[in-house]
Amino acid sequence: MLPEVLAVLALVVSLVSLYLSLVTYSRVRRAVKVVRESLTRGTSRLAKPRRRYVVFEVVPISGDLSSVSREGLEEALTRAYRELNGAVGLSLARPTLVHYDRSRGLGILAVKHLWKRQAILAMSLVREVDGVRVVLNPLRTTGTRRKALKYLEKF
Amino acid sequence: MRSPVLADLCYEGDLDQFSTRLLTRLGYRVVASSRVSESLELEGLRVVPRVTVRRGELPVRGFKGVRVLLVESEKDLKAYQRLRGLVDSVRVDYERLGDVDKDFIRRLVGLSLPVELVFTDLLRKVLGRSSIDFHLLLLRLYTRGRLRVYLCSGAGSAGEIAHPEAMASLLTSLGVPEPYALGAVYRIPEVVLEGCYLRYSQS
Repeated sequence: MLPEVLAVLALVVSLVSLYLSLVTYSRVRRAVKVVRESLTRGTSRLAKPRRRYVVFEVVPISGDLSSVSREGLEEALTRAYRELNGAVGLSLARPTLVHYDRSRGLGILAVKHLWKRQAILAMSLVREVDGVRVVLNPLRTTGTRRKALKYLEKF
Repeated sequence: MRSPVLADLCYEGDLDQFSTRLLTRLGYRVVASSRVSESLELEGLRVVPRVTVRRGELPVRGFKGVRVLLVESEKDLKAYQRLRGLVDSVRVDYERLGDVDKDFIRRLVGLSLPVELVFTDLLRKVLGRSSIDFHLLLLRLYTRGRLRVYLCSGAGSAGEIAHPEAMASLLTSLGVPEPYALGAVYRIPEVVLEGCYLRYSQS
């Protein structure tokens, strides 16, 4: 009787220890993964840059909206972005005015997704375009140009 | 889940028809201004009074609005326990304050009131290559949950009004994680306003 009880006890103990060792192993593995990810984040892993399309409107404070040209707006945006993020930042983000409806004052700015926020901040720096005092109001960000154009049509 | 009420707690410009329309267009629903003495509604935009007071001018009696304490020296936060309930948030005058020691930060954290950062000032400093070390210190404390920070436009005219996304973008550009940056623009100003409304209802 006693050897049988001991055998069952040994089996239970071994099963519990197996379970505990598996749990510990999985926890340690998870912790190592988290630490490794935090160490490599931002240094070795480069995210693939994707384009984002920021739909915005030009709100004139003083002057006529029709005086705001596409070239003037693009130049003002580029200047503001360079002032904020420098030449390297500008070449990385490559903010491009892909569409501008002069009559409605609506435009689409294409920028790499990693620098979308910087582009929106640069928009707030644009205070004057072609002698017209303006405020740029970012309306929406889309992943494709088609969706951005569709949004503009509905707006 | 209800959407947050977007508020600019330090708009100092005119409240004419154009400005109010522009503010509404940019998404603001509530604006705190020192130019009004009582709450009013202008074309769908709620305007609440705001007062910026020095330590010596406290308490402000009978004021129904946002009360902001202007901290100009380290002495302004001494015996900070007495300030609880007298003000809704704190604004720090960084130029006058100069270098601060650990005690000042300890008092600011102990006060547990939101600290107001002004978008136009911060942007001017960033573009003017001035030191923003103290701002960064506050933002670091904010991301660690020790302090609450909110951003307001500080616009003096319609042309200076900032889009809330641009304000959040400034914080993310300074290294604040996006959820915290959005919280400083969308959530914490609303919390400050709710505290004010709660005070009215109790008084």
